[in-house]
Amino acid sequence: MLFSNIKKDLARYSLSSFQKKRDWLNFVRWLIFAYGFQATVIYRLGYWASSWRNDTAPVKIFKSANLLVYGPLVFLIRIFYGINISRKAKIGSGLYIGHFGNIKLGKCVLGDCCSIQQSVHIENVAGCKPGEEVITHIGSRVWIGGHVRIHPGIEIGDNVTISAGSVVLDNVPDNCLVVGNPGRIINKNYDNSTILGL
Amino acid sequence: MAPKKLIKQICADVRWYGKVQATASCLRILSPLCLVVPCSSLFSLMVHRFGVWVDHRYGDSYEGGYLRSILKLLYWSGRYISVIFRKIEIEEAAELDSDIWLSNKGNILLGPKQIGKNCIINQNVTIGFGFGVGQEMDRPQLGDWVWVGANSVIHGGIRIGSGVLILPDSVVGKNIPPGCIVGGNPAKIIKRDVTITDSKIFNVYAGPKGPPFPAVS
Repeated sequence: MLFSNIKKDLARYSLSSFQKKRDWLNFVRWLIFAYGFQATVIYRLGYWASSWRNDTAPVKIFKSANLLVYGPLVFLIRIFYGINISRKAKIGSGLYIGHFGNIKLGKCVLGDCCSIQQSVHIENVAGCKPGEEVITHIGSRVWIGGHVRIHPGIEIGDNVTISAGSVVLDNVPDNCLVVGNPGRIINKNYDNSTILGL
Repeated sequence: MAPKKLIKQICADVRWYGKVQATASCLRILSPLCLVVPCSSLFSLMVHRFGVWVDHRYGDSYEGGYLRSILKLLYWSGRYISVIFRKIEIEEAAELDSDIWLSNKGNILLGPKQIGKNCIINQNVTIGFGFGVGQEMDRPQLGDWVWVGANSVIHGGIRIGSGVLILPDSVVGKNIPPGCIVGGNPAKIIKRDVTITDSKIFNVYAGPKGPPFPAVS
């Protein structure tokens, strides 16, 4: 499960510059600047290792040892890159994070092949009592632009495009385009396959 | 481009930073230290100028040999360090003119086609491709004397004229004529035909000692 998800994540990061000229130099460049890939690998490790309660004894020890490895790595990534994905989030395969900086994903549920840009906040608590948590559900093939804030407890469908700088306050059905500060639906049949690069 | 021009550009950047930040004259001597230690946005500017020079000098050909790969590795590691410490990333294809000041707090993602002279860019700003807007898949062009407020997004293939004030927390997706004040989430023009000599509006340029540079009409 871990490695199949990581393989699909890797496929999203286009190695096009690496494929044009198969240089060691271009490969090093890709390695250095794949911030999102490094953050998602460590998130997957944390998600896998945090399910240690339901396993047999030797696997329990192995997974909790991996949590000790996960701790300092996640600390470094949060300081240096600013990407903060909590290990309790359930994210499908093929996540693409384009940039560094100011990304916070709480206890949300994301589908397959999503794409997240810089300065996105998807949190899970908004003035609730402790113990009551409101989870946002986001479908698959969603493109979330930069500087987007999504209110907790919202359901977003599949194939949605959320433009940059918008604040989403209501549920969003499938195939829509959302723009603006109270998030308004402008187009009900917007094709985002070219933007996602699929 | 010989290395002399690169060094002239970097010296001009250091001098402009000293003026805008209005440091006391004894502290201005220390400002070249920022070229070595990534404690301010001067480091990322210098790395960008270096990268543009390397591309211009050696390009995509293999004539440089090992020197080209060493210089490129230097440029990428400098860019990585500026991301880690200052969170500022400037793309290679961007053309930055002289006398630009980026905020020291960082979180800036610059990917425009070109930026003119004497611009001031605050923190948490992205300038890049636009999706879900009319002019997609193209990058913006900024004119001279533009003040970009914090937390703003400028996207699409738009043109912003000279002498424009972009208020904080605004999302700009359409062309803007020169001499305007712009603000809001779908960005609206709030005031037109504003000249930079109008010191009440543009006192943002003034430091604690007054405007550090002559006003332009």
